[in-house]
Formats: sequence, structure tokens, C-alpha cells
Amino acid sequence: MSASPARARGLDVRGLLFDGWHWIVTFLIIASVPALLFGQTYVMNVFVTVAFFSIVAVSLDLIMGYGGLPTFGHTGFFAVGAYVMGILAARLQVPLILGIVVALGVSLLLALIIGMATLRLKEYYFAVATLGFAVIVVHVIAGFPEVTGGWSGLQGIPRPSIAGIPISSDLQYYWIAVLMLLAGLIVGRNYIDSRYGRSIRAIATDEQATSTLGIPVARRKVQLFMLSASYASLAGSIYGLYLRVPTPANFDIPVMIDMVLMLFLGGIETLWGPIVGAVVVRFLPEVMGVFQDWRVAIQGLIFVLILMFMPRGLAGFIMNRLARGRTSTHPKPVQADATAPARLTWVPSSAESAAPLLRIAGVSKRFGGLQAVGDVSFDVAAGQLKAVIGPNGAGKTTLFNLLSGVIVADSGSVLLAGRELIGLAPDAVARLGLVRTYQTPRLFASMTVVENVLTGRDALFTSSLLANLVKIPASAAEERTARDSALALLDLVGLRQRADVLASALPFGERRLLEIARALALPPSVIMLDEPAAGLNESEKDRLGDLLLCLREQGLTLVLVEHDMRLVMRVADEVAVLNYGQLVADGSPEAIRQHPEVIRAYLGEEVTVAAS
Amino acid sequence: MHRLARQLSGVVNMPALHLHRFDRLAKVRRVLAVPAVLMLAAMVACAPSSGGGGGGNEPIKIGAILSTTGAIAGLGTDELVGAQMFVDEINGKGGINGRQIQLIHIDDESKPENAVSAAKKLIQQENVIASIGPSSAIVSASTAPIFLESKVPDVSAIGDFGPLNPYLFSLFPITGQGVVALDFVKQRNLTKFGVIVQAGPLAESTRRTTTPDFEKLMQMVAYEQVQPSDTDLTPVLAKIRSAGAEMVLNPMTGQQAALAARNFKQINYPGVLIVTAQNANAAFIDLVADAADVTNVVGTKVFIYQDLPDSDASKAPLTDFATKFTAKTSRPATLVSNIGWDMMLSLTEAIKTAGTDREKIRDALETQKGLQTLTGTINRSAQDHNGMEADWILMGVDAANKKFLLKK
Amino acid sequence: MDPLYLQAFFGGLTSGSIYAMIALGFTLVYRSTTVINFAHGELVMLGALLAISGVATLKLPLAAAVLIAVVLSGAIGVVFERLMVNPVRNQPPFVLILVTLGASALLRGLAMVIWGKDALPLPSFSGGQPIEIAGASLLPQVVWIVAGTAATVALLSLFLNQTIWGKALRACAENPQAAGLVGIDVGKMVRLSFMLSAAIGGLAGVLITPVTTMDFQAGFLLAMKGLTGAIIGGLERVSGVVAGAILLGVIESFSSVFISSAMKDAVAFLILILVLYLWPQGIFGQREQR
Repeated sequence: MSASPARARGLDVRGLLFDGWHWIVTFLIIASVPALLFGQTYVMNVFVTVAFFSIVAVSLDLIMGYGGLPTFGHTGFFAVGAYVMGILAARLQVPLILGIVVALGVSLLLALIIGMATLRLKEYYFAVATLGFAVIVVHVIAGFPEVTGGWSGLQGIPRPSIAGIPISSDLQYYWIAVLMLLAGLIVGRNYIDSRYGRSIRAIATDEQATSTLGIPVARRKVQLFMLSASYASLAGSIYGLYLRVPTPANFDIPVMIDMVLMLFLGGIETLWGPIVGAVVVRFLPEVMGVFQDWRVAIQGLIFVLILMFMPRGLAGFIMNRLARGRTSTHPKPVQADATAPARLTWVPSSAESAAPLLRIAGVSKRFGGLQAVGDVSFDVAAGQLKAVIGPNGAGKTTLFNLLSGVIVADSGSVLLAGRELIGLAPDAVARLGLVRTYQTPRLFASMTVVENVLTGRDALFTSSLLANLVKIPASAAEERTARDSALALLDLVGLRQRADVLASALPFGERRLLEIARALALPPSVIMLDEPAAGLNESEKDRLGDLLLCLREQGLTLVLVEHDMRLVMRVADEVAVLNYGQLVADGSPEAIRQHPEVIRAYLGEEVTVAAS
Repeated sequence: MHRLARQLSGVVNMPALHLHRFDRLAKVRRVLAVPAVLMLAAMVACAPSSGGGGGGNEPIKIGAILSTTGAIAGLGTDELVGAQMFVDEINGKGGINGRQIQLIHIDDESKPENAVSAAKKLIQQENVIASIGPSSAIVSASTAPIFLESKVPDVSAIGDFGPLNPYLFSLFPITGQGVVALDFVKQRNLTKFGVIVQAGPLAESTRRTTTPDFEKLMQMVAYEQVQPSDTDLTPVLAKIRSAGAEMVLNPMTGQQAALAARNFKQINYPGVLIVTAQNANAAFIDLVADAADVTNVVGTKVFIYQDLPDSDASKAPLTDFATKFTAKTSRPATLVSNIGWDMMLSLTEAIKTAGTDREKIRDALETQKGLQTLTGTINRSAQDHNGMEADWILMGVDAANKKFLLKK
Repeated sequence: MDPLYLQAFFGGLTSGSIYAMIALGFTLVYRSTTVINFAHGELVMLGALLAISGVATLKLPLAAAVLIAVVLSGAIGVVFERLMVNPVRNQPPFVLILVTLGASALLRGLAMVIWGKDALPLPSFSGGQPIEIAGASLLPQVVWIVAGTAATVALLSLFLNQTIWGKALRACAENPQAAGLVGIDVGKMVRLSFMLSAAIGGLAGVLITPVTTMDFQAGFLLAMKGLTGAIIGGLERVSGVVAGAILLGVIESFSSVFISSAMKDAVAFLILILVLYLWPQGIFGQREQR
């Protein structure tokens, strides 16, 4: 099954509503409307549950919307938050704050375990496994009534108070929930804007390409899972206080389904969409009351219609309306500093040691009856541009996959500056300095050009997840530096003016260049390019050739798989030739041209070549 | 439909909704427009009606939180009909002290969150003096604290409600069912019984209230729980059989009660099957099918009112109720529908003596004694907020004629 | 052998074969569109309720009612595809999944008003006399279910692997663009798969209802079980789906008897998670290349 399909985000409306701190004010204004209108009435109760459920739904947007991981287990963390705190407070007289913290710790631990166990599963399987977690939690709560109170609920949770003021009214809980929601939105926004958010969106688009950029995919997924679980746990703890007597029915599967519905009706990848969805899901039954038994069918119909005509949810629909007045390629003002030479720092590949930088020895891979790569050995010296050529099906791309760790070799060894690469995961290989591009550019279509480059640069960042979540000045500064470097790289490949354009909007030739720029962001010591000239016209190929030579001048080591002989002859220092998975020749471009084996491989028979 | 869909999508993508000037204020206005519209809709939906239990000729408002949709829809629907029938009758006779009763029903969709907001709406907006329902323990656990805090008396349809709550009363009959087992125990020298029940609040309350009656007579050797989605109960019944149970107690609800009966027959269980009539109805008879001959149902007299001797005092009111109920719904009357009626009866009796003061109504409910209802007699006390002593009878199933039979 | 073991197995076989019959409908739609139709349980339910109406209201003989119900189910499948699936066919798959979830709620609501809230029965195909084997008993209807499942698996596998239509169908899931380019009418293929899937669902409904009875909600619960079983076995293969579903039923049954009947669902899910940890593609699913 293919990975999650690339989702083309609409237009970049985020700038509109979320400029600076503007949105927080908007949020607070909107949040106070229900309080002012309905503060003393029963309707407040519905708004309180809307707020609490929204917190969980927002966390679902992080993990399902942005992260593409379909999870149905968050009511489990919601329940753990309420019950662990409740049991500690009611049975052991533990102070509420401590209870909430312990509950959070338990949730994080559970999220870590479940995350590590299940995140390598594909979509549906992952969903079912997380659903299982939610079911098990409810069963455990119901199964030990002496501790949890069972289905009659957990009695005896003390009433909380803040600075001596008891918290008991709907209005008080509403504001607490609203502030928690606000915090959740801020943290969520920071996450999405940070490299963690970028990496998770990249993972959702193309997991393999992301790992070959040096991003530890599994670790990021688990981190996100734990982050969203913490939302649910904290919300659950306060919700448990609000309920006074939490029961398993408050955290059962119908609640989970409601929350997922809120997310999708509201709109994924918006963060605030789930709040809209929560309002609709919770209020629709109130409005529908007159229809009696027909209500269920009519509600179902409404949901279907919304999902059909507003697939990006209500929030997505609203955003589309608001973005009408803007063109999609409206760029942010970019520094007009095109004359400054690009400052690039590679891992020094100076010819300090005599040993070759990349040493490939006896690498083999068999797929069933086909020996795709058979005992291939060659060297690539530091600062060299090595071309690998051969007819179609010769095993060139397979070789790249073996080198970058995407496929595990049956035998052989690959040494990069003395470090063995065989057996390492793709992200580890990339972090050691070996990156690659693909035959068809695998970009992150829903992100902008500069965001794509920034994902390539992920491994260089040092600020931690927590630092990014609260956006301490150091992490913000790091972002800025990173952005400058990324722009410099775009300058190098000539895409500077397209920095804020969506990658999906680029023409083919520019996509290639973007992929190269992204690969260079690490920065690598060796870059492997898989047929970079394919699909380019003559002038684009010339531009490419110039770029490759320029990179070599700067000290980078390049390995090139190519079919275009003119380009190969122009740029390559050495050429290796593969045929049927075997290495048939390895030497200077001139020698290769005349090599009888090579000619036979391409043309099928011996042909005398006139001396050029 | 396809053309309609295309037309609709055309409307939705109207290009005319263009923004002329794209400034921040316009942005904020448009963003606020959405929640404003939603607020408006909510306000319209939640528009309060006239106030509550004052004096004069204003109606006495009583709330009813009953699940007419969702998992336990069958319960709430019948309860509502029974309750409404009572209200219609008492209003026809002039109401209470000259004031009509207004029953305000809200469906909680079998979900506790909805029941909580329904309770708050009834108390704060409709200003009900008391309420009936919820229909099940799953839901009432969440509404109980609300009635307690608002000091509003509530007569619910459940049989058991966990820890005692001063404002919460119930009247689903839960005790005394062991009496029908007496004969079996004596005749066949039964010493061991097992229970098969659905996991959840029903299992909990059965353990607390129903099985003790039977444990006075026999030893309980198995207590097995099943899931509502189970399609075959033969393994669990075989497990109970292995434990040596000579009688199987089946207090389940819904179609699974019938499934258990069918499975009981399927494995030729060497023993007696007792099904408690939690929601036995015509559907149950249909579903039991071939297992009718081994099925003994503990029920109340409403199921076989036609076979009661004329000397039985409950025959007349039950016949009256049943004929009216069937006329309304084209279904036979059931215990659950009686519960609906009885909830209103118990409550209105309290209102008759105590007036419309909530505290006095509460006290009156707590001290209700000797009240004859369709289901049985209510004798409450401060320790027992249920107090329903049902006239339990043992019934068989007459599959051919699609009805219950009075046994012995 | 203690008849308890055998009864546990028969019980597991009963529920497992029910799940399997339902799961088959899932896999057909999945193989042609890579989406899971979350309204499939409702199609099962509708097939059953239609047959019940045929017998109870129209007084048709059982065989006729069953046949008509299956055919009508197929027709409903086509209508479902036209109304719910076709309008969103160009959206990413997750939108389609959501629409089917909404459709599931819609159909359940409609069934509730049309057929009421109570469960309804359907007579067994060959009588209710249980079959006794070594102290354990099995309903004859279960034999019908198992036979029906086996026949459907055989026909479905044949169809998908041997006939040109089946191969065209699978091509649509692999790469709808390419399929269109080689002349396959993708729209027609999708419609066909929904029609067949709904007919299989209707057949499942009429086969299982004599055992379980049917009400407006039962379809959803059973479908979720069927889906879980299908995932355990591996959605990619028809036989895997069935094997996984039966395995789920047997695991549930044995854990109910020998571990704890109350925690049965929890135990089953725990085992599910373990299985998926060891075999991420399902026990019988295709292995990923690495």
C-alpha cells in the first residue's frame, strides 16, 4: 500500500488569521461571546464540554491532521487523565495538582509504549491498534469497581479551588477550559511552525524520502504521539473534576467517534477547525430536537453533506472563502541580495587522507530469482564527481537504494570515511553525510519551497522539542539562521525568488533543483543524484551541469546516475558502468567511451567507434 | 440527485462572495461571522419558554430524561409512552389541585453528556419542580450529582443507583425475584445456580441487588459477563454448566436475553433457565422461537393480565393500561411501559400531598408507603429509595400464540 | 475431551464465520478503491431487514425473500455508490472514508424509523435443530454461513484473479490513472465492486440473522468486528480476511471461557495488538520488501 497521499493545502491563509499575536485576541473575543450570552444558563454546560472535547480534538488534528496517523485511542488518555487523578485524590487523598501530574506521567509512559509498539504499522492497522487501547482502558476501569467505582462512577473527588476560591460553576470551568485550549493552540502552532512540525508533515507526505534526509522518522512519530496524548490527559484530568463523578461511559467509544467527527467536520490541518467541529457536533442535537426519531437520520445526512461539499471541513471552507482575495503565489518580501555569493559550508572533504571518501566493496542484492546487484565494487574519491551509467534495468537505482539504506544489502560493505553504512537505517546514513535525490523528485508538495529545504536541514538543529513548543528566543533565533541558510541554498540553485511558493506549484525543472537544494541542506559530504537530467530540456541541462560543477568546485563529492552522455562526459571525473547488476568498467570518461564491454552493453554488438 | 448535487456545489462555490478590500477588520468580521451565526442558531433553539412552578393556573412542569434513541432506545420509548399516558389521564381529570401537568421530555440519545445537559436545561431553563428518568444506570450515574446539587427530586427508571443520593429515587423492581425460584428449588432440590449477564452497569447492579435473593436459596457457582455484540453464547453457557450450575439466571436486556435462551436450548442445558423480564416484550417472544419451551420468565402481571382471575385487584388497572397502550402503539404493554406510568404516579402522589415545594416533594417521596402501582407496591425509606415490591410471577412463553403464559 | 473445549471452538466458529462473511464485503471494495466502506455494516443490516420484511409483512417464502433481499442489496449498493462515492471520487481517500461514516449514521437513522428499535428474527434455512458432536452442539445455520463464506471466497478469488473483470478491478486500486489509460472504465469498475460488495453484504445479513437476529444498530457493531478480523488476517487477500475473522471469533470465544468473559474484548484487542506487532501486514498479508 502506498504511503498517505500528498495533500495539497489550500492557499496560505495562515498568514491572514495568525499574524503575530493577532489571533489570540480574536480567539479570546470569540470565546467570551458564549460566556456573556449564556453564562448563567444550562447552555454553558454544553460549551464547557465543547471546550474540553476541543482540546482533545485539537491534539487529534496534530497527530491525524498534520501527522497523517489515524488514531482512535485518545479517549484512553482522556480517561487515564481523569481516573488516575481521581483515584489518587479520592482514595489516597493525594493533592489534586500532584494527581494531575502523575496522570500526565502515566499517559506519557503509555503513549511511549504504545507508540513504539504500533507506529510502524500502516494506517488501518494502526487505527485498530489504538482503538484497542481505548477499549482496553474502558474495560480496565469497569473491571475493577472497588478501585474505580465501576459503572456507577468514581465518587469522592474533592472540589478544586484556586487561591482559596472554590471552582464549581459551569462558567468557571468554561474559562479554565478555554485557557487550556488557548495554551494548546499556542503550543500546537509552535510545534507546527518548528522543525518538528515540518518533519511530521514531511513524514505524512513521504516517509521514505524524509528518512533519507536524516530525520529519525519513528522517533518523531512517537514524540508527536506523546505530545498529543499529553493534551488529552490534561484535558481529561480537569474534565474529571468538572464531572464530579466520572464514569466509564464518559470515555467510551461513542465519545471517541464524536471527537473524530469533530476533527473532520471542523477541518484537519487547521488547529482551530476542530473547535468549530466541536460546536457543531455538540449543538446539532439541541437544534434538531424537534425532529424526534428522525433526528438521527437527519444528523447523518447533514454530516454526509458537509463532508461531501466541504472536504476540508468547515474551517477549510471558511479559509477558502477568506483567501479569495489573495493570489496563491503572493510571496513574502525577499531580501534583494542576489549578488552576494552563497555561503555554503560542507563537511570538509579536502583530500587529507589518501583513502577514498566512499568505498563500495562487494555489494550484492538478490530479489527472488533476480540478482539485481552482483558484487559491485568501486571507489569515489573525496571531491570527485563519479558517474554511474548503464542500460535500463542495470541496477543503478537499486544500488542507490542499497547505499542510502532504503534496502538492506545481502552482502558487501560500504564505507563512508571509514564508517560502515550497511545495516544502518536511512536516516542514520543521511546524518553520516550521504544524501540522495530520486528519479522522480519526491518533494513535500503541501509545503513551500523554503520549507522543503528546511526539512533537509533538520539534522543540524539543536534546540529541543520543549524549547520549540514554548518558543524560547534561542529556538526562534535558530529558526531564523536556518531560514537564512536555506535561502542561500535556494540562491545557489537559482530558486530564491520562489521561496514561498508551494512546491506543488513548481514546474518540473524547478522541482529537480529544489530537491537538490533540499538534499544539500544537511549539509552532506556525498550527494547521490538519480538521473537528475531526466525530463529537462537542453538549457535546463546546461544549468544543471553548471550547478554540478559548481558544487564540485566547492568541495562536495557527487555520485551521479545518468543516461545523458553529453552531460556525463562534461562533468564526470570518473565513470562506473553497470550491466545486469555487475560492474563492467570503471575509469575515466574517455576510457569508458572506447571500452568494448560498454559499447556492447549499450548497443548489443561490437561497433568500431571512430576516434573523436 | 446528481444534478441537485451539482447545483448545490455550484452554489457553494459562488465566486460572488469576493472581498473588496482585504484589510484586517474585514478579516475579523468574517471570522466572527461564523460563530455569530452558530450562536444565533443556538439561541433560537434554546429559547426559554415561560417560567415554572409558580402558583395559579400555570402548569406544573415535570422533566423527563428518557433515551428514545441510541443504544437503549427501546427502554426510553416505552417509558415515555407510559408516562405520557399517565399525564394525559390525570390532566383529563383536572390535573393536580386544578393545575395541569406538563411533561417536558428530552432525549439523551443514551449518552451521559447529553443527559447532563438535558438535566441542566430542565432545571435551569424550564424550571421543572421534579423529573423522571433517566432510563439506565449508565446515564443516571452522571445526572445524579446534578439533581443533588440543584436539590431537585428525581424518580428514575433504573433499579439501582449505587450510593444513596438524597434526591434520587428509583422504582424498577429489583428485589424479591428469588421467590419464583422457590418452587424449582423445592421440587428439584436445586443447590447451585449461575448467572449470565451483559458486562457493564447491569452486571454491577445485578450483583448488588438481584443475585442476593437467589443466594438465599442456592449457592452461586458462576457469574459470567458477555458483550452486547456477542453472537454466540454457547461457550459461556457451557462454562457455567461445567461449574455445576443447575439453574441459569439470565437478567439480560435486549435481544441477547433471547439469544441466551436459544443457546441454552441449543446445548441441551441440563437445568432450569430463569429470564428476568428487564425488557421482555413481544419482540422477545418472537426471538426466543424454538427455545420457548425451556424459557421461564420472571415478570410482572402486565404480561398476562388477560389470564388473571377477576378477583385479582390489579387486573382492572392493568387491562385499562394495556388496552390503551396497545391502541396507541400497536404493541403489547410491557413492564418498562408500566415503569413509565409508575414514575409519574409516584411523583404526582408526592406532589399531591406536598405541593410544589421541592424539599417537601423529596420528603414525600422518601416516605411513600403502601402506594399501589401497576408494577407493585412502593414502600420507601431513607435507606431504601427504591422500595418497589413487585408482584412477581413466573411465566412461560407461548410461541405459537405469541404471548406469555401464566405458570401454575 | 471435555465438551467445553469443543463448545468453545464451535462458539468461536459461529461468531468467526459471521465476522468472515461480513468482512468479505469490505475486502472487495478495498481491493478496487483502497478505501474501507464504513457503511458496509448497514448494507448487511438492510439486506437482513429487507428479507425479514419479505417474510413477515409480504408473507413470501423464505427462499424468495432471501433472493430478493440479496438482489435489492446489490441495487442499494449501486445507489450508494452513485450518491455517496461518486461525488467525492476525486478527493483523497480519507474524505471517502468519512463520507461512508456519515452514510452509516444516516442509514442507521433511517432503519430505526422504518423498522423500529426492536430486534427482528428470520427463520433458519434448515430448521433450528442443533447438530450434536461429541457433547457439543452447533446450529445448522452456522453450516450455511460457513458454506456461504467458503463459496463466496472461492468465487471472489476466482473473479479477482482469473477473470478480466476482476483484474481490471484490481488495476483500479493499484493505479486508477493508468487503468483509465489502458481503457478500463474506472467508474464502472467501482460501481461494480460496490454492487457486488453490497450483494455479498446482503447475503451475509440473511445468512447470519437466523442466528443473531437483526436490529438497526447490530450491523455497525458486527462490521467493526468483521473489519478487525480482516485486518488481523490481512486486508490484501480474500482468504486472509476470512482466516483472520474466524481466528478472531475463536480467540474471543476461548478467552471468554478460559480467561474472563467480562474482559473478553480487552483480551481480544490485546492479542490483536500483539499480532500486528509481529505481523504488521496481518498474519496472512503480503510481506513488505525491505
